[in-house]
Amino acid sequence: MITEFHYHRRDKISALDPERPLFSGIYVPSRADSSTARDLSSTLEGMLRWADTTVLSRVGSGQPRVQTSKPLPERLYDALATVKVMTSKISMHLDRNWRSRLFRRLDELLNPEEWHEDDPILSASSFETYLRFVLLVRPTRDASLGVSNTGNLLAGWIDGRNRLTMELQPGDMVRWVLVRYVDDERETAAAQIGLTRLMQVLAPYQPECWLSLGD
Amino acid sequence: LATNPIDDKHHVARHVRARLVLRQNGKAVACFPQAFELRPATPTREAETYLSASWFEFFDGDWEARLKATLAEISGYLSVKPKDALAIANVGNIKEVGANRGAKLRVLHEPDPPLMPAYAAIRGVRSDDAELIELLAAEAFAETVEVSSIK
Repeated sequence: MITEFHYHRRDKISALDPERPLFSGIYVPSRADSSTARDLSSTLEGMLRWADTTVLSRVGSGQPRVQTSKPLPERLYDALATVKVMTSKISMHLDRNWRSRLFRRLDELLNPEEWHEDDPILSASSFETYLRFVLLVRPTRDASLGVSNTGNLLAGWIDGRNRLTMELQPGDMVRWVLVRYVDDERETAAAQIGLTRLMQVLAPYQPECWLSLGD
Repeated sequence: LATNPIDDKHHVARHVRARLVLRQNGKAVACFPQAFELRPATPTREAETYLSASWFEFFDGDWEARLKATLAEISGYLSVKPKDALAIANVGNIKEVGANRGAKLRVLHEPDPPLMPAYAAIRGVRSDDAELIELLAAEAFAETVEVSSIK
């Protein structure tokens, strides 16, 4: 039996074209020259189109599309394969060890033996936002990964009493919340913003303690 | 059955699914704040209006014995997997975190025997206050124990 809930398809397909802003005011890094950027763009577009036609739980307006025709292990396998292929297609921009560690964490996270039948499957478009976050911010410290109640990827970092967690949402949106101790004074902050402004907004909280930013 | 406030010095434990557990080097160390959000309605479930938990001190014995008894009770009415976790909070800390955000949180023993004699509810949580939810995860539920480690 197939159960399908209302689901709003994304209006746009991502493009990593160096001649077009990656996000408002931000272009593909110089190391990704035009041919590489076009390859990347084409690859991600292809992946997203493929994911759109594949049995994946997707989050559009917060309402997951659930297709229950396949057994849970198969749906998890599909989701895992999709996000791994998405990552592999841009592997030239990722450190090999970092990518291996990411795959290992994804294997552990999407383990059918640990997944509850009514848990949402990881959204491919949320994972796309995570890949863009990685390309833009270049964190060198591994995040702990999770999946939200609506199928979005979660990333979290803990440094002593300081915590930063993010929910990567489709369409380059990030919902983040942090607890930061400065001189033993606790500060908390939360927001939902576009990826392009993320580091600007986090800067006062010295996010290096969580992300160990690369070059 | 009557519901009663749980003593501030006591604790409650909440079952957290593996996908909402924060890990460092593979070890469960905390929970994502989403573990403490009230879940919206789905076609098969009503919207949550409070957070479910278990009153830890309802059971006799030391910390380990209570952990084991709490897990045994929760496993009787929920599906529990080895990588899931129990997040444990001091009741006074839950209330303090709420007060810091202007929310009056109440932690009540709401038994429902025979399956859920230690059942507790955390009422007054507002899911739209992301900082409150984060403080519950970061400060109140300070201990996270993976189910597989409870013997």
